[in-house]
Amino acid sequence: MTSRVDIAITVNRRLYRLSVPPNRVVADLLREDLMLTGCKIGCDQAVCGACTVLVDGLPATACTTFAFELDGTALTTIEGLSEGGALHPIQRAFLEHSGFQCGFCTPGMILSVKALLDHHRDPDEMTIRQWLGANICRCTGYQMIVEAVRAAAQAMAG
Amino acid sequence: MRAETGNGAVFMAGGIDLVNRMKFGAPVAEVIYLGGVAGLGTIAEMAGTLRLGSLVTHYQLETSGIVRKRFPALAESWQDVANIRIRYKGTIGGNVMTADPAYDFTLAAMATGAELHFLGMDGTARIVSAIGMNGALPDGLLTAITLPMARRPRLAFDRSLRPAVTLALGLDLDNGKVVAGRIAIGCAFAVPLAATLPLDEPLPPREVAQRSAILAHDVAVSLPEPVNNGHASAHYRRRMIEVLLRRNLGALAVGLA
Amino acid sequence: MMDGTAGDSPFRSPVIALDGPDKVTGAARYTFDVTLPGMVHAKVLRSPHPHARIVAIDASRAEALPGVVAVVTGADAIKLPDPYYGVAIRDQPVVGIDKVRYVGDMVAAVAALDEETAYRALALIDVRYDPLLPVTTIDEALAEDAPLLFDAPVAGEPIKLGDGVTSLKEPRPNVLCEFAYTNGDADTVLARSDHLFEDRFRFSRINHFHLEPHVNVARVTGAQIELWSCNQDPFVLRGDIARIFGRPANNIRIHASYVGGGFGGKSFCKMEPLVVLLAMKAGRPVRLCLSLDESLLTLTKHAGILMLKTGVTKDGRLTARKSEIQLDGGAYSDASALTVVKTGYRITGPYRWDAVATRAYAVRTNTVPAGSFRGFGGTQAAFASESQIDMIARRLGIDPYDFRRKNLLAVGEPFQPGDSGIDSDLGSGLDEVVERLGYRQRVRGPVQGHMARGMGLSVGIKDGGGTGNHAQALVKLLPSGRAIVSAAAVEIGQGATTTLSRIAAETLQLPLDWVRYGAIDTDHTPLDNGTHASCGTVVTGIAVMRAATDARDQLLQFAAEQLGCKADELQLDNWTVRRGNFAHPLEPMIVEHFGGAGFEFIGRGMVKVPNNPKAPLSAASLFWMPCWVGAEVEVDRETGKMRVVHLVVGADSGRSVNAVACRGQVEGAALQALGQSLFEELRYEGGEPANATPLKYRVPLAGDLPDCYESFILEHGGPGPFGAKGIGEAGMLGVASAIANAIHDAVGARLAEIPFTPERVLAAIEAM
Repeated sequence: MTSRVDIAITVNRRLYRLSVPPNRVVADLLREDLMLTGCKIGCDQAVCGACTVLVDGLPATACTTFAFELDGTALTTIEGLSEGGALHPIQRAFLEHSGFQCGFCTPGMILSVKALLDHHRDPDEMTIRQWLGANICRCTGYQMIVEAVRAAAQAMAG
Repeated sequence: MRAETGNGAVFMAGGIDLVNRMKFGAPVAEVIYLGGVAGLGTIAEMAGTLRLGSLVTHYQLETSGIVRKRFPALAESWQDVANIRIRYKGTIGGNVMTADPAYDFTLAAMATGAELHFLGMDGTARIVSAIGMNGALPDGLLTAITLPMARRPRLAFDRSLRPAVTLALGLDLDNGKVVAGRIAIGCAFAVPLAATLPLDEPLPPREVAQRSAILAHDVAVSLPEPVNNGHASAHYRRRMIEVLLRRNLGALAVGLA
Repeated sequence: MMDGTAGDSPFRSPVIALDGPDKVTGAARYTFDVTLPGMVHAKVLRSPHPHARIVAIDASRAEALPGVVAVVTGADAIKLPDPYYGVAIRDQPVVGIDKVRYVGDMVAAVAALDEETAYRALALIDVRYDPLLPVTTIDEALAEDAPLLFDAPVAGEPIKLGDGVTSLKEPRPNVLCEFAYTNGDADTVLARSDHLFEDRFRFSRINHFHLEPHVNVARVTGAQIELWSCNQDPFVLRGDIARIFGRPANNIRIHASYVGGGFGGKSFCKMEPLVVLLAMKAGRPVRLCLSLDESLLTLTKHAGILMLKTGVTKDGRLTARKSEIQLDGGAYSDASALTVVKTGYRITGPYRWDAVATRAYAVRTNTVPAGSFRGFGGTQAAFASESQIDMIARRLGIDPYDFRRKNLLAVGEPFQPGDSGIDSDLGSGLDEVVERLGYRQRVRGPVQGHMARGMGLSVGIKDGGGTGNHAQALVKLLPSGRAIVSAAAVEIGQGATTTLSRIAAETLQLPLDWVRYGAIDTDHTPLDNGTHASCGTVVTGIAVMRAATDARDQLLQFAAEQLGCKADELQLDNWTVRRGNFAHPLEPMIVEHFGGAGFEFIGRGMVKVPNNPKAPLSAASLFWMPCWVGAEVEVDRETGKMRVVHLVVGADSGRSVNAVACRGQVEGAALQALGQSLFEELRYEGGEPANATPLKYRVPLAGDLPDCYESFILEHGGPGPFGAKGIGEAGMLGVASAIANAIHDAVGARLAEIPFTPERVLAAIEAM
């Protein structure tokens, strides 16, 4: 077995050249090597989606992705969503519409929503509910998250 | 390469099931990552079949123009598989090789009368019909799944009673008559189970619809004993297999009439 | 205290949660994120047997593994001054001592340089078990000659309560504790009632499934024990650690961060003593972060069997109820003693009775311990009670709405003799549900094809705020007018940060964003009795308000002295004091007088709800939390598959301090209850948990939302700051019964057991 793998990943618009063990999991890479602790690990089994990050714009669970799979890709974490310190419209919508409570699922949820709105400019309620099936929230009961998503869609369209 | 590394090595496609198994302690010393292998991720029409590479993701299946044209019910039904991020990463090959009776693609393969193409350790190719598999997966690398298009199979999927029973149904038409029917049942047995529609002769769809209750009953009573578990009893499963089959057979046949 | 209408509220304008910016940017830090220099990682070895004696443990191979720093077993625990914990009754060991009592029970723990090494080391610990026969259901545990989980009485005392109550510890084999309550002579009243109905209900076991698993970091340096804990009750924990380790409480320091979901699963002592023990042995800080699988094997919500014998007159007036409630307490006490009391007390629902007799007890079984879960016995009680109310109404041919209206307690009527009066207009909430649901115009029975539709109502209720509860708080005013609120209500997502800050801001007439909710550190933060029982807004809130008032009074006194006038001539507004027409900014006044670093005005506040031995629970209930629910369902009569088409859930916030947070609490709780009603369950096959892993333990997703999901908040006034009440648990209470009642309305069949799986619904339909 190869002892280390060299990878080049762009994380939040910054290129990193790293040498990692083949079984390095992306969630640990982010939290321990890159100090991006916004990625929370919930179930650790790709079920809850708390650790969702965007890989080339698509949602993926960092807990079940090996670092070597991301060679040559662009990764976005929650820390990378705001540009120049200004909140992304999705973050603002979550604040204004109270789309969170304990907040542990929130980074992954917001990134999942980013992917949704990149693919559907003005999703209806059913589309939002289906897309959010990738993210468990135990606190909110989802309705307020759906409202935040619709508000974000409006803000981003206008 | 796998032959070289011996039996400790494991293939990795999307990796979701693999990583989970590793976290639960499965001893995996080596992983052969298939992501970079060309040709495993394509969808193409070839020699009267629809060829799906084993690394085709669920999302590709759902959105492929070719699939939407040739098997519209498959593409549409695939929007409901798992969730969006699993569809982006999970592959239909991984779905089949995990051999979980609750997973969907084997059912689709059975209902369409598909064939699974394997590459053996010694480099030889093997083709297995999805229906004939009965839970026994050959050794080797799954490279592709081919769906026959000659008889223009029409499909229906029903996951409304998951995790008790899921159903996939495929009817072949020839000269406007239903000549064959394949039924695939998920969640109800230890493995995805295939059955054939007991048609003595080709029937016009209208008659299939009229006889859907009898046909469903005949299939249901011929099946082995379903699983009894915390989700549902064997008795309920058998009854619901009949109900879902009757409903879907009726609806599909009516739509073809 | 009752205000009929919302009236003036200083809290009408919506605010953005103060913890919001942290949470939407990933900056929020949880105990999950705590790392310390030199920290090592722990993993726990868990019992594969539901019941077994621990014959011997040989950890030598694990200790020899390079990278392993320490291994802890019962041999270490038994040396502690008091190695057991539990609420009132303390039977759970820090780590397995003589026996293991459920699959998942903690047997040993390893600390190593990294998690992988710790996992490997677990496999090298050799445990010799002598398996014993397990009891995994209430019936098995209560059977004659059933194997006993405990061979001798355990430490602790039964909970002392008030008039009409008997409270027993370990009254019978495999029974942890019992609560009995009587008011009047139920047997006689029942015997002379026109009708007597006896019904039995089964409630399922679920798990909290907070996304942040249980996580703790412990550091022991010399005399001091320091813990960074996800626990909801830092001061309760401090007391437990002090007792277990025989150290003075002022040498124990607990830090709380944001908690990634609690719902009661992180209340009271869990594995914190084990982490401390490991840290002592390791000589280094130790982090133990459970996997979510392990959290599923740590605590559950009580399953149970509730048998209700209810009398009623022929014209539909309830007379008496005699109840026997068996709760499945699992292997250890945890909070069962309290839960039993609350389930038993709440079984009478929001109704008027001539007589009541209740017996509730917790049964010991070889399953995951059951403890506090949002609703705390009120959910179990409401399912049984509100289901039976509906059944009785239908049997008498009375509309379920009318039957409830006839029997609901009125405002001011005591819940039970000696307890406080109902402080909420229960009928008006029910009317709101009826209106929103369209109950009067409903379609019921078969619709198209195999489908049927129906609607059901429910009024759940629980006492809120804890019993005889108390809290303390400090508010610090900095020279600039910025404030720090120091209180130990832990932010678990319920919005304590914003609610308590808003109370302080309003009292001090400061902008909300000038107030910060301080870090919780038991060395510096005043004592709180625990973040549970929906007490944060009222109990901690009153303490905060009094602290803010005290700070304000000191400030005005200071300003008066500077200005040479009396304090009552001054008005405080936006960090300025006004005297007549003159405005005097405070910051320059403070800076000038004190110089240097200026001065902080530190206000102190506390509250204690009075005890009252005449009240059944030994203190009058602080406030009442109704839960009004209406559900519309569609049932497929051929498959039993049922869909909730419309769900309306309402609660009473007294007067909302943060209305949007109130809505979130109600909707979040109600969806948890919906999940449990339809599918969520921790299932057992014999002694083995069948689905204690996230892949198989289904929790509600966004796709499980009813077609139409709505909530409403009424404001009937409460004892909290500015008329507030607690609301966090309310949404749980009435959901399951409303759905059961809707199914009954649709297909005429009664489901007395949750979850309402398609198979069960079909069986009920066909049993008719």
